[in-house]
Amino acid sequence: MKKRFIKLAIIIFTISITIPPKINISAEVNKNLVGDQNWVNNETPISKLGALVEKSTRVLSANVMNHNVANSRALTPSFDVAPIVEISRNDGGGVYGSPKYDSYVENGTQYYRDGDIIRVKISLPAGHGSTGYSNVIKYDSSKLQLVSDFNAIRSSIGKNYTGWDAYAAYYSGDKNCIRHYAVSQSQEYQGGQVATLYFRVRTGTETEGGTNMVFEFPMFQSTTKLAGDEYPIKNHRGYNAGDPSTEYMTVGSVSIQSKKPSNNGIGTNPSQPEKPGPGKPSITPGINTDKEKVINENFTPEQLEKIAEISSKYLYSLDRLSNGIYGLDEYDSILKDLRSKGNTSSGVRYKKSSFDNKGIMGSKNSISSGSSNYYMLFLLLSILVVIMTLSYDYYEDRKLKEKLED
Amino acid sequence: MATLYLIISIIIFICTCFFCFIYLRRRNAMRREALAIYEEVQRHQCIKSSSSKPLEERV
Repeated sequence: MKKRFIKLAIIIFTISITIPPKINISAEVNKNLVGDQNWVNNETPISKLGALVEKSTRVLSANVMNHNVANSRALTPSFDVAPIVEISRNDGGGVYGSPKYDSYVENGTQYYRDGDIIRVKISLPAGHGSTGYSNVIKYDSSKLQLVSDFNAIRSSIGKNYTGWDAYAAYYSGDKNCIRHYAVSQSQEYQGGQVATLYFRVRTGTETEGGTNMVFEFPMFQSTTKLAGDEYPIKNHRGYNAGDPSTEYMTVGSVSIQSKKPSNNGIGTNPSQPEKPGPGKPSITPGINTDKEKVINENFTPEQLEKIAEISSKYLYSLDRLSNGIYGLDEYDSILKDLRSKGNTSSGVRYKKSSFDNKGIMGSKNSISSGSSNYYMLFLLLSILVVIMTLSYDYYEDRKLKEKLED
Repeated sequence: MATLYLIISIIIFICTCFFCFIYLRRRNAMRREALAIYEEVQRHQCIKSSSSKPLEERV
């Protein structure tokens, strides 16, 4: 009897400790790092169209349009929710674009000059049921300079949605690609703006004929799995992680092309936002403009230059140390170091945000490693201990009873 | 949040182990006591039964 009991206990214990660890969203995002780096495709429809329309000019324009619609449609039916991308000048003017998976959205024109700041706001519609999101923005770093303040990137979710966090990193070490992602291990995203990225048009871009900014989103987004459940398993239509459909795909692009100036010599007035034409769909659903005021720092050009330096250093460090996902302690220490330097020597003023209120480690847990899911193991062990205790007690009672009866 | 869950679960686990240990200790003590009482009763019964025998049998 006693041996049988011990055998049973050993079997239960073995089963409990051999439960496979939970799949973490980090693993899935990391997997998607392996992608095609030859993203500059001169044969894309957007570049052809841009070349036809906007050549030999001085003022830059941004055309937001669908990129390779046919290919998108071939893959997109499996994904229900497309992130919304809004592109404008830093002053808020301009035409917005929302690259989507299977629909042509907007073909507006926005004019940029050398030194202008391009603001890229990324939002997710409410109720898409995801706890993770990521996208890749590919751009020519010789023509566009990332000047985002990573405080803004990081805090843009955290201040509004407890438990969410947003990060940015170079995509597979390529400084022409930014991968931005936001995750939560405990909450479904409620919709709204997830990040704002700022780019500066480098000097000479006007005369060089412009450039492209390409957006890619993964077919796979993590579905809603709240605390304790497994992370990405299948997307909304049942595609498994690892299927070809889960790879990143190009869903839209912004063509920043040179354009001939108008009669007054300065082109279309940059301060006048372009209005969507009649019958065109609304292109900014789910975007909360109030948050923009918080994120938009209105830095001076000198400050933006400094932030760009810091951001580049940070991004490189993050990618090198942690492959963009892990190593958040290093992330925090680097960011803290950079921020302290920026406050003391560079003169860059960082706007106090909820990031400061939360503390640097405030959001660490949101993307902690898969080992944190082992809390289930401890709960199971607790139950096992109770079962073993009661069983042992019952066994001893039986033994005593038999002894007394004898 | 996951770390918080982990810490809470570890605390629960430790508390469970502690209370189980206390429970088993008390139950074992009770069993020992019951056994001791039983043996005492047996001994008394044995003495009583032996003392109730006739004198010639006891000799």
